Amino acid sequence: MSLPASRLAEGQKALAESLTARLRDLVFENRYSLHPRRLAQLGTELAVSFTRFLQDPAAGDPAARGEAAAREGVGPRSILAVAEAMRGFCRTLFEGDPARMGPALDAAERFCSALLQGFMQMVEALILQDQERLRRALSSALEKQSRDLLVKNHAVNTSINGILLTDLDGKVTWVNASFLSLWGYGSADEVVGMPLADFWAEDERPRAAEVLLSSGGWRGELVARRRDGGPFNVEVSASIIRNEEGAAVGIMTSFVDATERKRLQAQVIQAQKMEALGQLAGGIAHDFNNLLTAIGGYVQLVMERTPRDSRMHKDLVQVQAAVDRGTGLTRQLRFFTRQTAGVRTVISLNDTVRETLEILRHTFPPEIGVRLQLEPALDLVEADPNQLSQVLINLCVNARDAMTEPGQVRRGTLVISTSNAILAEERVGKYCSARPGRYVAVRVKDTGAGIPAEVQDRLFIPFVTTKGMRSGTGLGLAVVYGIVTNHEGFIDVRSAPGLGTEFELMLPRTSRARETAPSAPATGLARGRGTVLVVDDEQQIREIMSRVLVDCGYTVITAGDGAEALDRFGTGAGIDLVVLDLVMPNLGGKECFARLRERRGDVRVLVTTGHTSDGTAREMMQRGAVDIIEKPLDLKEFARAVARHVSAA
Amino acid sequence: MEDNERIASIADASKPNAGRIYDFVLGGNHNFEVDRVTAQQILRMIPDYPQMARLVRWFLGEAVRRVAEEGYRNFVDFASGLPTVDHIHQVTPPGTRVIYSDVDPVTVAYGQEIIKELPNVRYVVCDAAKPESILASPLPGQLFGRDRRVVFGLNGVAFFLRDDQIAHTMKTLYEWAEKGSRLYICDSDQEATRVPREQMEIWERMGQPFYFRSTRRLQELVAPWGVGQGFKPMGEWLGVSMRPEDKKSPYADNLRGAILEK
Repeated sequence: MSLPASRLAEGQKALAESLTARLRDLVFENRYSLHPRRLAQLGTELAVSFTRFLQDPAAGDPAARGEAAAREGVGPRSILAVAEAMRGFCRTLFEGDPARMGPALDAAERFCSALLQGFMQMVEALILQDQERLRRALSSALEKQSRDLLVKNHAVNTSINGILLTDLDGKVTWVNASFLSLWGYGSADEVVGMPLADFWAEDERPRAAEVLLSSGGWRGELVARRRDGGPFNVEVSASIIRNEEGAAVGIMTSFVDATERKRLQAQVIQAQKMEALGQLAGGIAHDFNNLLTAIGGYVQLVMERTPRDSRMHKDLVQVQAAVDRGTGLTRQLRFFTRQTAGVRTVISLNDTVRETLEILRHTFPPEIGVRLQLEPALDLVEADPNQLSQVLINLCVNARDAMTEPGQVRRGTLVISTSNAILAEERVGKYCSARPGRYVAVRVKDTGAGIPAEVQDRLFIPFVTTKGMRSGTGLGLAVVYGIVTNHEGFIDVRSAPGLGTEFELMLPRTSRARETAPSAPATGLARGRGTVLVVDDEQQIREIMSRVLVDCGYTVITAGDGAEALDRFGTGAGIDLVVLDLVMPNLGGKECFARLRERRGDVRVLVTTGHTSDGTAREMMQRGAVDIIEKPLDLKEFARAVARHVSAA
Repeated sequence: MEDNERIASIADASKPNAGRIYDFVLGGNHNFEVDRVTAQQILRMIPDYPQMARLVRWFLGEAVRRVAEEGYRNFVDFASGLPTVDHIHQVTPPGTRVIYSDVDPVTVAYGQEIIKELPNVRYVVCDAAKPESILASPLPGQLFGRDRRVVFGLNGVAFFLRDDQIAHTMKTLYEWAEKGSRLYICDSDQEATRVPREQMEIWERMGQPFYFRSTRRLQELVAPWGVGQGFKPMGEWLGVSMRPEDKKSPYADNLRGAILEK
């Protein structure tokens, strides 16, 4: 028997309202995904589907409706309430009509069974689907975590810092490769389980235990003990490892070998000390230069007016000799302070060694043998041969003295050798200014008394001497240091008491070819005619230069600084040459030179300076100065230079 | 917490996790036995937690539908959770551009999997307390072009943020957005002093402290955003009322939501 469509249609609206009310009542029983605003529509859809099914069981698919309800988020209690409301709807609708009540309830039961079955199947499927999604998401997250951990593990394992993990009792649980390398162990198996104390120097153990195990977080330096017992300094950073609950479970300690850093620090301090000494000595040398120039100049002037056979002349010769010795000393000081650039040419140090030895050989007693071991294919260097010769002389004289006792001569051997060397960063890194690359090595080795370790640290400081009062100025090795450093090289010393000493000089190799040596200068006090502006802030120097030039036939104008020089120079008309000092108050030589050039583009300027190595004089040459004369002045050379450049005007 | 630690803790089925517990009380299947046991303990303390969680989620759908009907097509949502059903891209017209975000990288990884075939939808890691990490990135420009008339979502996250964090987030979003932008937000209208200590501790133990505040205080914090229709109870927004048997604690009933305006 078919159910009447008209009655079903009439009841459909009431059923929809009833289902919506049930769904609203149980709104919180549904999943979050089912929005309350959807409930009225859902109630209507279910009511329509149900009434159509009652009318024509082939017309609908209650299982699919149940699946859809589950997908939307209808909760189990809600779907049961919906099914109950549908059954109730049939009972109410066909109350008093038993002929239709039975078929209607049968149809309702079929609909609800299929609805609930579809619902439950979808709920199970959704659970499985969600669990599978969760599994995939977690699996993907764990995989990412695993990859990240792998990278971090690799980073920790290959860190250049030594890393040590211990438990709270101080027993090693893990170490990385750098730790094994620092402490000299072959594998982690040797170390794991060892007590922390075993890695520290004897008197450092209580402190290490205290700071690493009890404080939890510490930075500092400790003296460690290698596997072979050797001590070394390490910078330490320790921290507690905590679990997720915040409880301490171990200690992580990171180490950096401090030996190299300490050595570099010492090297820097030494370089700074030498630099400070250089500045001090440089200042003194500069002032003495000026004084000696003045004294020597006046002595030369007086001597020219004094009969050669007079007592006065003989005394003046002594004064001149003393001035020359003083000049020699300041020249050496200037080598140390690197104020003298010298004249650099491309040379072979083999030649320098041979020529120097030729000079020195006769000063060595026969008991001391001299051997040369020179590399035939020695690379060339760019250097001042005279300065390098000075270096070798100083070293050889020291070697000779080290093999000589006062009043007696010991047997010994001096060996001078040369070779080519390619130096890596590890070798040159400890010298502040040295760079890796190709070098030429010169070694001067003696079999003398050797140098005590405590003296080696201050070997190159000026006026430090091991020769006592008997000989030596204490400037020999300071000069060596200054010259070699000025040539971008460095020096190593290997020595021990009783075992002799070896000095090893390293100078950078040059790829330039040898040059032709310049011709020797002419001699004689050159005369000339013309007007010369002499500019120097030292009144005595100014006076000497002025008197020499006047005596040589020039008209001389003088100025005490750059500003006064500009006044005297005016437009420059009639001035053939300006003799210009570099370091002056008010307006320095460099600035004065620029202003002079502005006033007269072809002005001829002869630069005088006691500092040829700082680059200023060279820069002025590049900008058009005609020549540089180094202080202390050699008056003959000065007169020759003036004559040459005035005549060229 | 670092990403990896968070992932490890979420992936660890031996310990309860706040996200998975939330999923459980919402009726989801993304949880483990340990979460369900802990959830039962929480439900003893806060029996209407499931109702509260549903109201929060439904308010999202409600707010999004309303602003979408007004024509808004650019959304930036914070603390989005899983965009499975009834989330922004599903209840807005096609072509709507959505940036979902969450502080939990596992949720984000999962979310990215879900939205991977949607050209106008992105999912990124972002802490709702630091929205500048999204705003300063190229992402808004790539998705919205120069249009900064947007809708921001801070649904169900205010009670996990301190007052200073809320103030910072609101100011940052306000300064970035164009006039006319909207922001939907909900929070529990609850004086912290009236919440039993043991209830606060439950959240703290899960690593997600709960910050209670009054709606009056929240209104101060959201300034200079305008409050639009004001902070209203969820029942008013959603057209549902809680049965007496659903009112097992004051939390769900005290939820207030608003759609703010610039």
